[in-house]
Amino acid sequence: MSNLPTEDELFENQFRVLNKQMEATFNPKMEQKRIQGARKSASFYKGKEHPILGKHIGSIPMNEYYAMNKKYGVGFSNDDEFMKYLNNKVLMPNGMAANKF
Amino acid sequence: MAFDASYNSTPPTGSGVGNREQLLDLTTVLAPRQAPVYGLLPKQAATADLVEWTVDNLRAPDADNAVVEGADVGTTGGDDLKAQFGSLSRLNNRLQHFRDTFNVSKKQEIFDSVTPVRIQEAEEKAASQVLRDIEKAICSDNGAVSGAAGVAGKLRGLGAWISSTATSDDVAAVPSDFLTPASAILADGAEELTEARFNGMLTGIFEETGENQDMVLVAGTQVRNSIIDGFTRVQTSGSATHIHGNSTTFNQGDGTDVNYNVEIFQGPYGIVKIISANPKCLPDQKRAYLLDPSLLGWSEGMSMGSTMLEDQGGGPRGYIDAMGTLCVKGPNGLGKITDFAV
Repeated sequence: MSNLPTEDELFENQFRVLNKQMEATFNPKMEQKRIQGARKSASFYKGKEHPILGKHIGSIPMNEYYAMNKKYGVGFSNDDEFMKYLNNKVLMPNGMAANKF
Repeated sequence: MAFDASYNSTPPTGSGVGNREQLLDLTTVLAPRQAPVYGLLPKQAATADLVEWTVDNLRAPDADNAVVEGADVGTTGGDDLKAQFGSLSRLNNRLQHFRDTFNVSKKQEIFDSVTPVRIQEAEEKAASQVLRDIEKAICSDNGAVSGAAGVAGKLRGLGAWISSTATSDDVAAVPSDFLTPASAILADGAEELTEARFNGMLTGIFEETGENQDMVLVAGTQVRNSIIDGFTRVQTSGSATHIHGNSTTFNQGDGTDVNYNVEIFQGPYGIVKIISANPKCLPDQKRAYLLDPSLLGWSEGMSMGSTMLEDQGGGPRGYIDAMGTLCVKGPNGLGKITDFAV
């Protein structure tokens, strides 16, 4: 009898350990702290540009980035339309991006 | 005059023998637990010790592809019939079985302790250790090892996959058509990590893939400092070259402040993300990998799980284990930084 994980189980397990950490830290206090860190990071890029990578359009705390990776699929951040929406509606209004997409 | 000092505490006599101990209700586990590369990898099931996949490419475009009018295929003036799949190649990697054990004595299990040193905490800690081991193996320069009697099978790490020369280990060498271009590997310890070199790295990958991929730079602290702090500058000086005095210090500062934000940039190479690597899981802090998650995968023979063993009287015990291997579906679309002058 095979004990191979199903696709669903794999998907769940992919982030199980990371999620465990998130559960420990995903409380309003820590979330606020992470947002503050991202804001601080984004503020450094205001009025500046990277000569090779271009303009900064978002600082996302790693926990939230991986949560979105799980929710929207690996590669979500390479979708221009998605990133435009994320930048315009979430990151810019919250001070987590230095430039508008 | 002799004092009754606190150090006079040789049991059973002395003024200090009754002094209470003070142990703060605080334990610090100072170690990064993140596994950013492992988290990026799309997961799939593995059903064999040697996990294999195929890669293919297109031949060099031919500007002189022109047919003589009226010429049939295979005749003089016509084109020969060609095998289209001559470059189809098989790549593979070995499964690695990761394991960490834990046990707690019965006495420790019932004692009141500042840090909960009980079986559940031991189990959770072992899980964190295994996750870091997986991340370290993925980011390593390890070559693949075929398991044998007394020899543990090991996967080939990113450092060995991303190479401009064919590596020799226990899985198939990457065919020359799929090797990482030399321009996408920055390994000269005598040269600074300049804008031109970093640009050349991105260009080298673009020239292989011909498209703006989903690029993620997972960087050690020194690379991140050089690329973000050393390069980024006020917008008006876009034409400036890499000059330390012109650079602006960012959140990485002197390298002691490492954050786990994903920084997203939009520029000529599309959307590029920069993520701090887990510093404990890189060979050193001058290491960075430029990855496209769609060219990578984690084949999982067994997802991370916990198994409790029989308590034979000493106390509860068990182990955490996981099994998997790294799939690199296009080494020529990836890059790495291993050394540079600072």
